[in-house]
Amino acid sequence: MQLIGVDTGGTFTDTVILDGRGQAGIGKTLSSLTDPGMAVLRSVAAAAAQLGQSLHEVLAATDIFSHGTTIGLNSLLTGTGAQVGLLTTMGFESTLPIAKINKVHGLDELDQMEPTRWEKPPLVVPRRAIRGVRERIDAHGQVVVPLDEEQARHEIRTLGEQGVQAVAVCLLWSVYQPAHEQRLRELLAEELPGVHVSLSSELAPHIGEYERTMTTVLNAYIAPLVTRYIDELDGALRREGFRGTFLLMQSGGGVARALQMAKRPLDTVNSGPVGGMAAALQVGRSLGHPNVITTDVGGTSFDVGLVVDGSVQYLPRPMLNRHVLANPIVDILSIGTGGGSIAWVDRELGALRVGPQSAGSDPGPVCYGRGGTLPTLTDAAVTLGYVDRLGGQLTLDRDAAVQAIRTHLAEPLGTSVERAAEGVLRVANAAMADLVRRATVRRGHDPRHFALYAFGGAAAQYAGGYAADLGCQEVVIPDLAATFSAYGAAASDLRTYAERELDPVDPAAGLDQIRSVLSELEARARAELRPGEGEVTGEVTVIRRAGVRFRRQVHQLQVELPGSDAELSAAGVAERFRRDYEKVIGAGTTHSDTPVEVVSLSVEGRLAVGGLRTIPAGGVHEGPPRPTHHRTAWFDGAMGEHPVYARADLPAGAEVAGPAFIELDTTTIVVYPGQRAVVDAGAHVRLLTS
Amino acid sequence: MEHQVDPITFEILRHRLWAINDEAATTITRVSGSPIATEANDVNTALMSADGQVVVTGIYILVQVVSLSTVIEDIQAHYRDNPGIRPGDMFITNDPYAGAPHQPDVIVVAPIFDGDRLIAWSGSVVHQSDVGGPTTGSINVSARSIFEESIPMPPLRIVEQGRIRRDIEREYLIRSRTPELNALDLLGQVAANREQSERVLALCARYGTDTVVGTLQQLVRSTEARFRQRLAELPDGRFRHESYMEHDGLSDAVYPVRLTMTKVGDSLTLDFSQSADQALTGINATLPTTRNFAMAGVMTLLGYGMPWVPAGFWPAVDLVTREGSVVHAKWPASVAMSVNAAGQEVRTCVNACIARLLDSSAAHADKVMAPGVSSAPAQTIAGHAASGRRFGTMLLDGLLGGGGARSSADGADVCGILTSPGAACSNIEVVEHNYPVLYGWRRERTDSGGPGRFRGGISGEVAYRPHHVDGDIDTTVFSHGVEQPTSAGTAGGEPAAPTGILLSAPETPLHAGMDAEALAAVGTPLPPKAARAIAPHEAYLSWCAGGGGYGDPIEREPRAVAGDVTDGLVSVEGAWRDYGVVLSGNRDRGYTADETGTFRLREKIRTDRLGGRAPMPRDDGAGTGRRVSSALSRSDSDRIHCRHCGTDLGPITDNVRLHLSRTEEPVGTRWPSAQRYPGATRFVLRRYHCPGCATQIDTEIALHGEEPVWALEVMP
Repeated sequence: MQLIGVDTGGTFTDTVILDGRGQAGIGKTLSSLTDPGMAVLRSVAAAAAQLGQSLHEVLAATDIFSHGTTIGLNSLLTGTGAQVGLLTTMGFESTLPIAKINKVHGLDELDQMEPTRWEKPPLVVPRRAIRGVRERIDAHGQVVVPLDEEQARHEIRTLGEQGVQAVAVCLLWSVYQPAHEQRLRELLAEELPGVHVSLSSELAPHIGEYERTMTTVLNAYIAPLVTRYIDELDGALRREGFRGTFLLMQSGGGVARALQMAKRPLDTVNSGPVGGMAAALQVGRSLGHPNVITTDVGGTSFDVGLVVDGSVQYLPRPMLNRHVLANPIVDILSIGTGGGSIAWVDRELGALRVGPQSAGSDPGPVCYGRGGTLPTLTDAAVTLGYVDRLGGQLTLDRDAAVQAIRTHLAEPLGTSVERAAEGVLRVANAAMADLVRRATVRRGHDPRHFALYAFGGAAAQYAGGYAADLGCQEVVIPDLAATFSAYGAAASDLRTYAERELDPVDPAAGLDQIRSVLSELEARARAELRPGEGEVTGEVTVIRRAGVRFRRQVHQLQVELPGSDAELSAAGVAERFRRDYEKVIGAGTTHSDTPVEVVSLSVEGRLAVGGLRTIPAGGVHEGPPRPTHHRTAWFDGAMGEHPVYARADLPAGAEVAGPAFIELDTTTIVVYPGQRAVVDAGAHVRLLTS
Repeated sequence: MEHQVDPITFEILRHRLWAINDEAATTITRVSGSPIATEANDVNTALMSADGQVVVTGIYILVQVVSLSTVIEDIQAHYRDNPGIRPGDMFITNDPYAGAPHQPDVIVVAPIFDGDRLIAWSGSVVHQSDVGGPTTGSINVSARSIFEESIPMPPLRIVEQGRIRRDIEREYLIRSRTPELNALDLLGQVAANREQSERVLALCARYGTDTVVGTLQQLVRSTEARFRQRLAELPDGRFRHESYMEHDGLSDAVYPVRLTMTKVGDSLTLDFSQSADQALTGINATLPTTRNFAMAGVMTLLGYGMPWVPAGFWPAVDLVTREGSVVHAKWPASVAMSVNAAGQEVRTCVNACIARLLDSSAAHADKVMAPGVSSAPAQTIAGHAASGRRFGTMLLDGLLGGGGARSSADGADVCGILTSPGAACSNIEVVEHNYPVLYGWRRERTDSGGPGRFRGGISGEVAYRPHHVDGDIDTTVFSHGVEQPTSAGTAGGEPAAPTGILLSAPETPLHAGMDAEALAAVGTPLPPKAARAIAPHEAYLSWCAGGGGYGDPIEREPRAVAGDVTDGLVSVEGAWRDYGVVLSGNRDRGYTADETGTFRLREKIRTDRLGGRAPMPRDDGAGTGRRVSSALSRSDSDRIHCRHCGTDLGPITDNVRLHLSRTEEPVGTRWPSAQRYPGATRFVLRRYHCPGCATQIDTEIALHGEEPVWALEVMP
């Protein structure tokens, strides 16, 4: 079976082709803001070329095309999504502006402790595009006020006059009774044909109107853009001969069919980093690292995630740009420091600063020679001699980078070009190390109990810098590090998740109801995983869970249920709940006579399609490693000649002492003075920082 | 002897302790049966030093934990020998005289022992739906002493060597109308203490006990140093503010809370001794509650850029009170309403005075924030659902108040009270899921923010009616600030609109989209303290106060006013009346300001301020000398001048308000909702203008006929 994983990041679009013989083809080409789909094809073509094939040849032989994209996230962060209207229950138009009175959550720690910096989250829908519809359903799902269709049509037309491109619909209690939302979709189709519609009862069927509305609105906000993208890319792949399954990475982990994702594009927002996490999880298992800090340095951002005891960490009510969402996603922290971050002299502060402005991929760093004029982190690394080639077909213009550093940094600071460039790296490394601390120390984890994985296009150049004082057990630059998210996309399971919230059910009295809801959810999950014509297939794993709590408790605990209805019993549910509860809350914290109730049921389905391929280290040379050549680079305050090794030449166990460089397919590891790099059997490079 | 901790370990341990404490709060909310704790985050946790000083706190409800130290001091003073303080013990209390903010706030604290060495304490506070007493929800608005409220529990050793004592647990639960909820929360608090203890001890094992203890000490020490440094950077001065509570549950009397705040060098004195005598009813605060609110105000408003370690702030703050006053109740005075009564106005006074202190410093003027909502329309409900199930809870719609305006930005809209940064209001669906009510609306309230160059945050309003209920809903409402606004303006900004509480006229249907004022006009305004029934055919309406404004309202950008009107936050009339802005447009397409009309209207307002006399032109370079506030400076000859036009405003030994031109308006004509209360005639809104350039320099809510408060006393 042949798999292709493609990850679109802010700067590069990465491809990993895993063919049936254990060979990998790697592609790294520039992303394009204006035509991201074309950039995907270019990247796949580059990877195909490595295997000596054409784009068409590769695609025609591929079973699975798995893709992570930041297109939705970018439009959220840059505010370039659709103009959205919101239809909601009349009287509750302020749900989003009120935001559950949150003015501090999502602010950084310093701002949280400074009242003059407290702000509500930014409004995605202006108040005048939030229209109340006369209708009301109560907490029992009963219609109290029927939908006033005339009035609704009037509000819809008003939105039309305002020029909205997408409409989110979130009515109170639609989780129990979606009829009014569904009717509004019909009215919208009649009044505003062609306008995207997102319904809260489908996207986020969770009680709690604020988070549900927010999720629905953000979905609508990015939907037109993402849907068009998916359609166009699907068409382009088919035209190039692809006949397999087109999958997209999900924020909640795993992959899903692209055409299903088109209905819930919000689930794509975190897909790049999630791809990296998926790959890290697999590599962690093979290397025996239950605790991993993942660090991903890309062109525009630095992402940090955690694997704790072999599991990815989830945020049940994740926050995106300070908006709280109703659906869980993989927990990843991010800052806007990457290779494209622009370095500048802040005359007021008298400081050398890096970011938050980024040159992105277009024009990109000065050294790309694509019209960039402001020096970036990558330009600094180039100036110091740490990078002497760029991914894909880019040619590197070192002179331009040096010139930019001189003009914009060295001369204003009154220092040498090299010292200015070194300063840029130091500032960026400190910011990256701080984020790692925030993800670990501030969540009560000690980085010393973790292995740190560094991946993404630029991590190999900086990991030795930012990891040095974190005290991690070891630093691993995994094989395929530069295209790790793409690798992760190809290595992920197909995953689907269906959930229903219930008016609390006594498990003894309501066992039949529980069984019937579960079988309905399971049928839905299996249907989503059922292969279409000519698609890959495999064994489906289904996990059924119940949200259980003591009667009158507010929070619920997810309890895994037996796989078959026959094994499902009220006593079993209660016992499993008490056991898990004491594990989480503490021994002796349950009363055996307090009744329990079931408040939600969910089914997760998985279909393994990819899986990990290990690529042996290879390397043929016996004896001490031999450099392929030497490179002029700046270490310890002086320019000098330093050895460069080819990773492919280094056998398992080979050790390289810094200062030195190890060239991988699409990136270069910088081994700083005092550090050593060791190659292991799985072709991963371990960096020993002390 | 103190143990020196190296900077990296200190940084790691500091964050680790913070994470341990934060996760303890998460544990409680996971276990809790109370939507108040889980949805509103009406819960807080703390880690304390061995002598009980509060070092690490969560940001949820600051006033709950700031003075947990008083509880620990009480335990150590009384129980050292009998019954003893041993590893695995925990103590429960809800005694406001021992440190609980009020009786519904239940505290469980635990000593942390490393071997037999007491190294720290952990503790948490969770608001309970009911802790007993004569009324459901445990707020008896007419209680004449604490014996007519929920009788508090002094600290009791409820956990002995790791085991909950069933006899004491029953003694606690038997008081409550919601014993099963209280039982769950108790388990959560016990689990949280256990978790904090285990994790702190794990740190001791890894880093050494001395290092952990040293980190706690260093946190206190470094915070004190930074806070004193902050105070030293600010000009010396004396500031006063007077805030009012009307209605004590028995009669419509007025209780002023009065603060004189003096900042000299690196210390701060908060003198509340001139406050009213204690009331017969539970609007009083005990000393611990006043300490809680005063310190929470100081930390939030003066503690920017430094960790909120209460124990580090206290050494620089001298709190002066008079026993027997409304902010220092004498046993057995009733106190259950304190957290929504005297405590709130303690913070308002601290807020108003700190705003003046910061405004006197050019370097810190960007941190000025006007007081925001304080007088929440708090409410408990109880009864039987149609299913026969009993229910009782506090509703959280009182959290929908507005934040104070800042010196460079509007106040946050519908953001809750200052000293509960992490609090949240419930989702309507969660409320309706748990209780038999159906909301007609929860929405932003037009014209509720205090006008100013920067507008105070607007507030929210709600309406609901009983739904699937068996009989009436019994309700207790306790609030104030309905006859007069409590959110004061700053630097010439104006107070926000007051609170509102009422029942609709019987049989009036409740439709979403109805105008609350229209319903109010035919409804029954409730007194600010009320215990009564809501019949199934009635609807309950309430709205919160907004935040105070900053700066002269007619200096607000006309474009910003037009945007507010488009958003429904300010009415067209409000734009004209409060901001002097003339508009054209409509809601669907948006409004724009008419430049010429606005210019003329604003000129007319200035002339009116001076009684028909044309104002002098402004010259912002005119007022030289040392800054006293954003509007005033002090010359070398110790006279005060307007910084906008240079006009002489008298010697520094005078109350400058007496030298400003003043207009006075009854609050009832300014805010129609207040006019429905006869007691509103006692209060006036005063606006103070520079007699030269007509700039609005100050505003004040005062009792009719009383002298202006000497709010800004320049030190010689």
